[in-house]
Amino acid sequence: MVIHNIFDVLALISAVLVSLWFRRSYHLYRPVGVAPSSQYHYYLAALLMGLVVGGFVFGTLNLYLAGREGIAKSMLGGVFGAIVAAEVFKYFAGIRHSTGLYFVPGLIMLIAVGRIGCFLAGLPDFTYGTATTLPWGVDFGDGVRRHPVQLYESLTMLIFLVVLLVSYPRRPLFWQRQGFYVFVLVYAGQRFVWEFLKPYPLVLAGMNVFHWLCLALILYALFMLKRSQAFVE
Amino acid sequence: MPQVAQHYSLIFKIFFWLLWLGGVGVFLVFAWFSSMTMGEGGFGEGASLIGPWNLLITVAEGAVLFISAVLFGNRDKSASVLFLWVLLATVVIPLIGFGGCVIQ
Repeated sequence: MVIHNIFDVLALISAVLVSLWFRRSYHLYRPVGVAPSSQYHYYLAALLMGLVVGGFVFGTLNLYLAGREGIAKSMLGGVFGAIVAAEVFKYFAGIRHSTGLYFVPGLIMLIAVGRIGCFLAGLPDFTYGTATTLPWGVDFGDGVRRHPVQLYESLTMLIFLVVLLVSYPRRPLFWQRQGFYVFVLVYAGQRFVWEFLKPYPLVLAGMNVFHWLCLALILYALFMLKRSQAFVE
Repeated sequence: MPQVAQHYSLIFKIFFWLLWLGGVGVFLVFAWFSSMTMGEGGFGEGASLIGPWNLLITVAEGAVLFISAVLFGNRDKSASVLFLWVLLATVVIPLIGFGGCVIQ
């Protein structure tokens, strides 16, 4: 699956480039409220550790529940872990502002490009969709035409990036205060829908592990949007 | 402008070098992968790309370990910056190196 590795690197490079361009264009040199350099560095370290731990824990849990051996990574699990790490860090650092918009363009590119790698990796990557008779169904080599759910996710994220880039210059304050929560809402919302098109084991109430993670993120986003709205008013 | 020499606490020094040694472990693992996939008997189907990939990761890991050790020795970077460098070696590079959503 070297093709996946190559797209992981491309995803990282595109994430860094788009992120740098966005920050420089709109003078977002550091997340709002994160002041000293050292605090910013430890904040990044906390996010990274949350991303890695969440990614491995939930990815591997889903793989284990599916009765397959190995270790797995999940971007959704990573986003969940990073958000938990960020909120814990912010609580102890006394930061009350939204700090996430700074990372959104990079995250979008990471997901959008990374998912193309998942699509090209095919069946061994265990990220394919369920069987479909729709004309755009893709045969990954086992003779079954499947939903290219990886591309659905990639496309949704790119559309969100366009909306962000078009809308940000007109409403910068809205995006700075609430943009990250809007991103989480859209990301978790679309993943929740695509999860119904995946062959993952169901754990509770007809939903898989990632459905439940998505629901947790949607609730988080709605709560934070409401809270930040009250803060703005 | 001359840089101010940084003072690192003993706990940070121990933590830094433990993580750095973890990075050396990653380096050795990928060096071994490289030798397995690029050496004799490793030219089978799929080995043509995985070999150079492992070599690339080994070189990147070695470079980051070298830079982080030099930065530590120079004492002109803050502990938080050094921490990010060593995390790059022990977490980010192996994460990219193993690639894919499923590692079997």
